[in-house]
Amino acid sequence: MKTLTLKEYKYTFDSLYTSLCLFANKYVENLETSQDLVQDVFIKIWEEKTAFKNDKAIKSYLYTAVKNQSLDYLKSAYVRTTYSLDGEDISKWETDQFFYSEVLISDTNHLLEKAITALPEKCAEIIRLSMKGMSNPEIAEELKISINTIKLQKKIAYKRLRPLLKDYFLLFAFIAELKQ
Amino acid sequence: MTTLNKLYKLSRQIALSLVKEEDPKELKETDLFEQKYKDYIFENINSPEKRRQRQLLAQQINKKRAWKNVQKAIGVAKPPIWRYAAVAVIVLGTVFYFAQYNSAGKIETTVATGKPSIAPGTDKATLVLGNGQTIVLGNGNTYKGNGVAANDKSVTYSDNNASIEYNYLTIPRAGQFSLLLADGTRVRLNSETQLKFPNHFIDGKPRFVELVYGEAYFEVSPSTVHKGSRFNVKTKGQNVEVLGTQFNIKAYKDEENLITTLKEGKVVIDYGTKKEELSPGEQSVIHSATSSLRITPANLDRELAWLNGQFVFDNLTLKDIVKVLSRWYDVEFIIKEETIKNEKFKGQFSKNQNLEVILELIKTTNQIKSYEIKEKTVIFK
Repeated sequence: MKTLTLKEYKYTFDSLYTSLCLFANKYVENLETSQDLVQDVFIKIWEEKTAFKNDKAIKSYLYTAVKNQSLDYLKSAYVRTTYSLDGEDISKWETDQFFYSEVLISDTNHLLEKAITALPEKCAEIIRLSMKGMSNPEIAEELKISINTIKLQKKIAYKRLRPLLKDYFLLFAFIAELKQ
Repeated sequence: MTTLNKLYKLSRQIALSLVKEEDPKELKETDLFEQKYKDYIFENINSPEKRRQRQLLAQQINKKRAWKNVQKAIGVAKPPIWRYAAVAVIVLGTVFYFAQYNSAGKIETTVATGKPSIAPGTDKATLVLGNGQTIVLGNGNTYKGNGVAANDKSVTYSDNNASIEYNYLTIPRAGQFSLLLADGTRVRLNSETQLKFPNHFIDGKPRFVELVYGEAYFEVSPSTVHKGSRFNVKTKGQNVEVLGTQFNIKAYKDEENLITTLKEGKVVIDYGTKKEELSPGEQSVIHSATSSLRITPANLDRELAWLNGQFVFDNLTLKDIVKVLSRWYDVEFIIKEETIKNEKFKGQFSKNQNLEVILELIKTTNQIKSYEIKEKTVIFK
């Protein structure tokens, strides 16, 4: 168990802040509030010198803390009177299935976004368009390149991403690996 | 392996399938989720529309600003150089004072005749009813409708049993108006202000109004005569909860701070995750850019001067003074000399006089050599 150095803390923040805000937003449905909640969680782990076993534990801690913070916010008197939520609405957000679903969605998107930015520019652009639902002929038209080039670039992307996405990697190690 | 660790493994497998443009079979096969959640997850990670929405939201998140907030909170921020620079300005900057002139007679002689004259604002407002009907108020207009009556200076709602609908009262630049809500709460509204409120309230249920923008002073009818109903004012993410009291909220569109000043009683300020109680004579200042909230002692004479038809400037920069003047006189200001924008002035004026009188007074401090009025624009040279 160890507490984070300032450098590690900043790394964690840079890496996960946006994903955690979007995750909190699934609960509180207000981006400003989501950002406040996530910042509060980050401030707390620093002030309380929270210790972690490893990188995965940090991520799990953050998702769990942001969820709890969001639920507390939804249960606060202000939200209850302003948006007149009834008990039923909150119970949906309190289930483990909802929490796990949102963590999975968040983590998958987070991985994809991080991984794609690590690709060479052209390659990343093709994958992004493909993720937008565009077919190879449509991408060829958009980027004014041949369909064969697209197929080749997609292969390159897959080859480069597979080791990163297949093996287990740590939060920090992952970033370091991408920078090489 | 904990459930979360299983999830991280699953998310890597799904990410890889998506890059390969294959259906994520690991999601289909996992026993971590019920079918309806599997469908929900698949929709969220695979649909281009959902990805686009996520991207749009992500673009609205300012990570740099957030990190600054966090650094400040945990006390590891390096003091920026500009902070020292600001202190230096305060020390070096001279404060100029101009006296109060309620009667403008003596000054007016210095204003050359034939020049365009900019008259002060008057009582005026636009009321939009729940059915969309728009009523122009002020300038001798009166109105009488279902539970609503308006004269020259104010609009009054009486308690009624009509279905609840929301009305808007909008005060233009160079305007001011008064409003008596159906529960007996009195609201004074300053120039460039909009208030959203229901045509009546239900005793025992929370009372809600919204100050959409601008400045308003509330004298709230106590909750004890409304079966405990608390009165709430929402403004730009802030909620003020009230039992029965008098306070002012300033939330202009062109100002960075949202300021709530308490004169009497007790209010609770709710902003994001923060909650603070104000005591009489205190004010809360919310800085919207950093979402910070602080409580400070208030200068009530200055903050509430507008209610007595006064401007009170207490060490206010010229830049901020012209903001206040432009709202009441409906003019734009251009300050040519960059250096005088941050020069501080002190003074008190009646709002009920032509703009030229105030401009002449500012000129007597010798900080401004001359000014020119071109239709609705004032240029300081």
